[in-house]
Amino acid sequence: MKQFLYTSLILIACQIQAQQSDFSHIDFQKADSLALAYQGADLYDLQELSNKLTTGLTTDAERFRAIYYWVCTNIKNDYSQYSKNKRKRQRFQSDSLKTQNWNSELKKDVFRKLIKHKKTICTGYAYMVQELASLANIPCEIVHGYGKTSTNLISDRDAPNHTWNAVKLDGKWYLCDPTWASGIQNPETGNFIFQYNDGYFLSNPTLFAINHYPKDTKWLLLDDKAPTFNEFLEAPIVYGNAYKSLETHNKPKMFHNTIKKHETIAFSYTLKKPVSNNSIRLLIDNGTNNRQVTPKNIQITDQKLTLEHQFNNTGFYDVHLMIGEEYISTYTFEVKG
Amino acid sequence: MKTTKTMTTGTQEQKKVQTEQQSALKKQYHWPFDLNTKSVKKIISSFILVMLAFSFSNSMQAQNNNGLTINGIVSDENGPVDQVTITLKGTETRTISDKKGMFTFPEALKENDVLVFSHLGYHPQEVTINKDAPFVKVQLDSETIEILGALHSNKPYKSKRKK
Repeated sequence: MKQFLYTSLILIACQIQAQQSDFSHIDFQKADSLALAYQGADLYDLQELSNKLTTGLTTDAERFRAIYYWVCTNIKNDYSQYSKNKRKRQRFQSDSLKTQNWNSELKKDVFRKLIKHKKTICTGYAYMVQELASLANIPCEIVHGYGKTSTNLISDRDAPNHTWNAVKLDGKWYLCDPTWASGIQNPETGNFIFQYNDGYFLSNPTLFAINHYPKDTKWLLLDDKAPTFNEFLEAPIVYGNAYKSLETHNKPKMFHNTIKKHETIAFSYTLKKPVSNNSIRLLIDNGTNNRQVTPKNIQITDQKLTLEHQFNNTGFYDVHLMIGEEYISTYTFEVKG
Repeated sequence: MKTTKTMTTGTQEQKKVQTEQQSALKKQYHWPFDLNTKSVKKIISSFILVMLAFSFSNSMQAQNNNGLTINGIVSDENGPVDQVTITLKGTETRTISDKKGMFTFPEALKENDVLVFSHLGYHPQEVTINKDAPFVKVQLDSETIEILGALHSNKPYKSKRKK
């Protein structure tokens, strides 16, 4: 019993830490448990579902949270539909009419599958969040654009491939990505596994812009600090786990870096939650083997994490930042003599 | 002879004892268990009568309000659309179109009531009720949506190298 109490206390504590700082005064526990209470509810009457998910919650942030959390924990990612769509889109890339036809054919199928089987691809997630939020009178937009992952690096010839949401709470716009928050693909079976990642809820726009670039740049929500599309293409890879532990990613700005032998590189991040110095490592892969390195000058002051590494041998390296066992970000370094 | 006489008195006595026992048992019960079946039947039938009267009065009321029973069909450019939510604006009353896109609104409506038709992927549409047109035909406009999907992956990046 005691053990149970302690673990639940720890869980609650973790959850509070993981929230967006603007709403740190709100405990989303109530919203989350309301969403859990309707686990498995069907999608035939969206107004009713939206009402159920928001009744008794007083703030828009909590009401939106219940909707978002419900979608993330009830809708599966449909990989067969994803790969079919990707194939067709690539084939029709130069033919806009064919793409259009394929799109309208797919659309019917997507919404039917979503409602009947609660299975979809990004656009379905974003539409479901928007629809349920609108039915609860919360302003919410669908944002189309580019999503960058370790297995899908974007080039300037690619068409937009991802959809997410912007939501207006207390007069301010926020970003969230229900698709990536819901779970990941099991690397062995290829099936979808629910694995809720709270980091994609009301994420820091600076971090979000490293792997999300909207077609309409106003949805970067960064005004004069907005990166260009080129800067986005050149940005490092950040993983889902980065959203759990980082508030922002500051340095290095580039994914591919060319440096000189014996050059020291500075890495800089803003942390979301405290981490211990000895959990921070760099995993360096030279193509034949991996080695773990404890970086130099690890400093954590006021949530700001800085560290350094000196490259003493020429070669081409994949460098991963690790916190504990989790991959946070990846860069490549070409070290020349 | 004697023996038979005693036997009959014996059985009479037994009966007496039995009836006494039965009445004693009855006294232990309380209402409504001591009712006989006849009165139970009476109660049930009168209850049903009252229920029927109520249901009739309800439908009478609806008719008195000049309520309109609204039927209709929902379609898009490709034909009937099912699973469309049809809500009476400003209320919680709603229904859903069936596989043929057909619906019957569950509540009698008045002139100038507004029905809202909504479905994922379509622009919501409002229809004002006209008492001369109790059959509503609605064509929904599809939103222009691009269907996209990017997979999430926790797989660590690995550079492709020349060998």
